[in-house]
Amino acid sequence: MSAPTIELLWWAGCPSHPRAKAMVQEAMTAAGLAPGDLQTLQMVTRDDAEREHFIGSPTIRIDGADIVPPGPDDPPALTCRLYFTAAGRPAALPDAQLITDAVAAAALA
Amino acid sequence: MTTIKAAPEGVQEWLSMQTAGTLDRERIRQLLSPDGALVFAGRESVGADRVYEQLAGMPSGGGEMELSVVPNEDPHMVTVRGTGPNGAPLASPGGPMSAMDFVFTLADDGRIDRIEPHPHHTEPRDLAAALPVGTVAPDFTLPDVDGSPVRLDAGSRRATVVVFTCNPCPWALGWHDRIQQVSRDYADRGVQVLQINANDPAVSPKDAIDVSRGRVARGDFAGPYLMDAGQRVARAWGARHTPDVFVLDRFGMVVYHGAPDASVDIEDLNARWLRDAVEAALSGTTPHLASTEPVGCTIKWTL
Repeated sequence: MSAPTIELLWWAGCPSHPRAKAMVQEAMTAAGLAPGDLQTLQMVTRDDAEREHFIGSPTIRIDGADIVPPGPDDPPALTCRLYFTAAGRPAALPDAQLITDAVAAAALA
Repeated sequence: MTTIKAAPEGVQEWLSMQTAGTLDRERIRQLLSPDGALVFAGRESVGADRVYEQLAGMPSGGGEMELSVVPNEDPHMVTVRGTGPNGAPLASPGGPMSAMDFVFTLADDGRIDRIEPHPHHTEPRDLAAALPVGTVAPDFTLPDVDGSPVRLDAGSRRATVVVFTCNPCPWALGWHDRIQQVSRDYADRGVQVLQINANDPAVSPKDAIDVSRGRVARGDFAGPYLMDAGQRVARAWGARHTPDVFVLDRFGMVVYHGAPDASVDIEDLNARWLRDAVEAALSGTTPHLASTEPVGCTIKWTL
């Protein structure tokens, strides 16, 4: 069984990526994965965003799949990503539980 | 993105010299094609001696850059990206950069035909420092979403709040309701709240005028929502984030600059810092906190 590929795509214009990185690495540790295996990818240009189908920072992918699949009207852009909490409030990050569950499921797959 | 070790050795050596500031004229002569050129900042230098001279006048990376290779399908092109440690901005005479791309065109023999460094600045050159507390804010007139001009008229108000905001930013949206409530709560006390969208919609499509107009039509705003299409006001005021809050007293003097309150995630904070500043402006005193760190997305600049 090989470990899942977990990626954090981020853009420097949003202050959320250090927290996102910590959340993903905490989830990896909890799932028995090496947090140092997290791959981080900085988006700098619009070409980067289009190449990676990056719709905002931060974006977390596991084996290439976004843990919060984007909608059809979300164009690639160098911007901050808008998430929503379970209560429907705007948020700069996905819910911690969502990250934990996604990483745990990938670790078991 | 792959490690710099994926780049041809000549490219690696060139960048090692350039970023460490250890230029070697003879080595440049060997790595560069006879008519090889460096193009940077509108200046093209051809041939090893001229390229050396231009390079010598350019700032080096000071050894602080992390280098990686940008994917590219053209075998004669290699783009190497330099970024700051852990993504920290790179300093440059033209302002902070998120990265510097070095685009190399290679000849069939592997030597370098052309080098074009492309800086990726994070801010425009004419972006001022944020208006300091205690200074009088410059006037402006900006159109609302219907094109009607709205003038900052601090002298006719007991206090004025200016908030740089936008449509899709999670911080702007997270604080949005608190700011609208401030606008409603103080409307009958002579306080005007002006909210300004300065984002370039070419960079941030969700800040297009029709999206802003739709939000106003839905009743999302308790006061004027102004469009700073040329970013003239944001640049003059030194706004950098969404939201970025300025509070002016009846003389137009900045009495507060910063965030609405201490956390976008805690609604009960109720824009405390902003409210304290408005109260101070109304009473002609100084707020307990006159300056805090704005937190949010960066304004999407036209660069």
